[in-house]
Amino acid sequence: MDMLGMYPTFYVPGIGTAWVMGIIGVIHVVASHTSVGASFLFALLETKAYREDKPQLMDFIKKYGMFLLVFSYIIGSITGPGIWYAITVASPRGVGGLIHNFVWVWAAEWVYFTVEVIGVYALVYLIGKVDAKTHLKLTWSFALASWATMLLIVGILSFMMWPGNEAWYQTGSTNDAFYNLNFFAHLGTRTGSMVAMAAVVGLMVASRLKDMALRRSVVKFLAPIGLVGGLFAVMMFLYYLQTLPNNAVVMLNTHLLPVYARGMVAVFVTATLYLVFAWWKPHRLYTSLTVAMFAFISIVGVWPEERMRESMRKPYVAGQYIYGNQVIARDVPGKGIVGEVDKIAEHGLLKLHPFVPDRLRVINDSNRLEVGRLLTKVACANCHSLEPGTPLRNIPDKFHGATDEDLIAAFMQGPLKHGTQPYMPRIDLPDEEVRAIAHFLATVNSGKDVDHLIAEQQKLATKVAAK
Amino acid sequence: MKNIFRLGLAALLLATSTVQAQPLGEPAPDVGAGKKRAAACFACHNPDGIAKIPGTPHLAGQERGYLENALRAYRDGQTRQNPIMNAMAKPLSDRDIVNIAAYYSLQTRMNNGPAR
Ligand code: HEC
Ligand code: HEC
Repeated sequence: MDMLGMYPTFYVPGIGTAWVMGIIGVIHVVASHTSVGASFLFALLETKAYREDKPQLMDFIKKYGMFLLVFSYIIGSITGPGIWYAITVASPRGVGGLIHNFVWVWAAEWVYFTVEVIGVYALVYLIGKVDAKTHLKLTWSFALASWATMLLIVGILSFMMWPGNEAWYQTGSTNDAFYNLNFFAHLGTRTGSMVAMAAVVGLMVASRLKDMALRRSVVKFLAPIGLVGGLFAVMMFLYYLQTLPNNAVVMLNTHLLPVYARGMVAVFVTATLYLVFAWWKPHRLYTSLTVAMFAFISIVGVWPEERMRESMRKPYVAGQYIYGNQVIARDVPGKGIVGEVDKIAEHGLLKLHPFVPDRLRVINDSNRLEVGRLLTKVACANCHSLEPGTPLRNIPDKFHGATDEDLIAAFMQGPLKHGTQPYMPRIDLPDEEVRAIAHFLATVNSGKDVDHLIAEQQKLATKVAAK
Repeated sequence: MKNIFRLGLAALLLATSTVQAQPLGEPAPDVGAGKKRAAACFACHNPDGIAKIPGTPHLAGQERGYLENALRAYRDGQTRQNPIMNAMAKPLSDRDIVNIAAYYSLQTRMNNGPAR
């Protein structure tokens, strides 16, 4: 029988691979948005310096540029490859699907990224060494290249949510995937928030300026731009919410907004008040406060935003055709991809998954628990951690500690088999496999040390085999 | 405090009504056992009987007899058909149904807004 193209499942206890990815991703987004936003602030500031003949503004640009080099580019380029590693391990088929769609988009992004990195070095080190007009052109090219990298990534990220049209499934064309339904809304949201974030970082740098007149002119310039950016981001976010698929709307209303809505409003209000205050009283701007503000935006603003985008996409990782647990959800004729749910229902994961150890392919009394653990990891652990009390919507708590195998099995034979929960995949498994999973979950819920039990059983099994 | 009082009162009422309604020899419902058996149901209906998932009904404070009938109907799968509840009710014994129905019927609808 043909195996499915599945990969081994990596599982990080407690936080799951999903959070590992999330944490790296948030650091990366903070760094990269700041640098893209800053590139625009530079270009605008420098245009002002050039038109009004205020070369002292270039001092500020140089300071901010140095800060960016150290902060954003180093952090951004460490976390960038970090994301690649993390997603490849956590969601190999999701990444594979994206690469098969967007390989040239990513190639183009790399070209712009190279321009961007060279640009920021050139920009900082050539201040005062080339004539003002040439430098201004350089700065604008840097800004456009930076924004282009973001634009290209947003096309990919928003396709992950969904294509929003049937066309892509039929054609498989990169254009249909890239210009998906929520591309523009997503791009707008990120563009607005990156300007706002860059303005806050700009104020952080400005607060170090000793020359009060310079500080005043910089702050009076940055604050209103940041405000407009923030407002634009919020408007585009509201538009973005209108472009989401039904599964995302359900997740948003039942699980996400009740948790995150207050924090997001708080970030918007605080950031607005802060920018208004800075605009009004530039000399009262303290570095400590700006740093705190930036940390607040990153933690209370960016983390929920990234978490929400990841969670809303459930049950899919990409394009509404690959489930979070790596199973292909539907046919995509345009790419020659065939859905796998029904095939798994018929033959079972144990037969079709290439990385199941041979001694676990057939269930018996001495390996049922271990098979259950393996199957639970394969079928559920991309989205759920398995230890009670842990943060990635852990299954024991979702079942409120239920120890009844028959009812856990019923949950799989009813809701999961029929795909009734909009945020979970349709998971249809043969009876034996369902019972193994239920056995494992019930054992975890009863508070027993499962890993120890499994180790004991393995020891016993090898002894029996040796006889 | 008030809640405990109300719960106690409800339990008392219930106890008396069972005595009246049920044939002799049938033991009174065991609410504790109902709660334990219903843990897997909490995934959707929650321990307080107020559901958050769209399309999932609240069970808190519902008529006990009604809940029992509903669960039996789901279990038999003839008169009430639903892919979720037919599967969930299948393993339940008659005792389970009585106990779980008692557990949910004793809860109060504490949500302030209109039922979602
Ligand atoms: C693609 C991601 C994904 C996979 C795979 C997945 N789930 Fe879920 N599950 C979710 C999400 C999202 C929720 C919503 C709850 C939340 O976010 O708090 C959820 C909720 C639940 C709930 C609570 C009931 C409900 O409907 O809200 C249970 C129980 C559950 N999952 C069990 C499982 C089991 C068992 C498996 C594996 C056989 C599994 N899940 C696989 C994403 C997933
Ligand atoms: C996956 C989510 C889910 C789980 C788990 C679940 N239910 Fe339900 N329940 C529902 C939904 C959805 C309905 C409405 C079904 C319909 O339209 O007939 C429902 C309906 C009911 C009703 C009928 C309510 C009425 O007003 O008619 C009862 C009683 C009930 N469930 C009890 C239970 C019990 C007891 C369990 C555990 C054994 C359980 N449910 C587990 C989702 C769930």
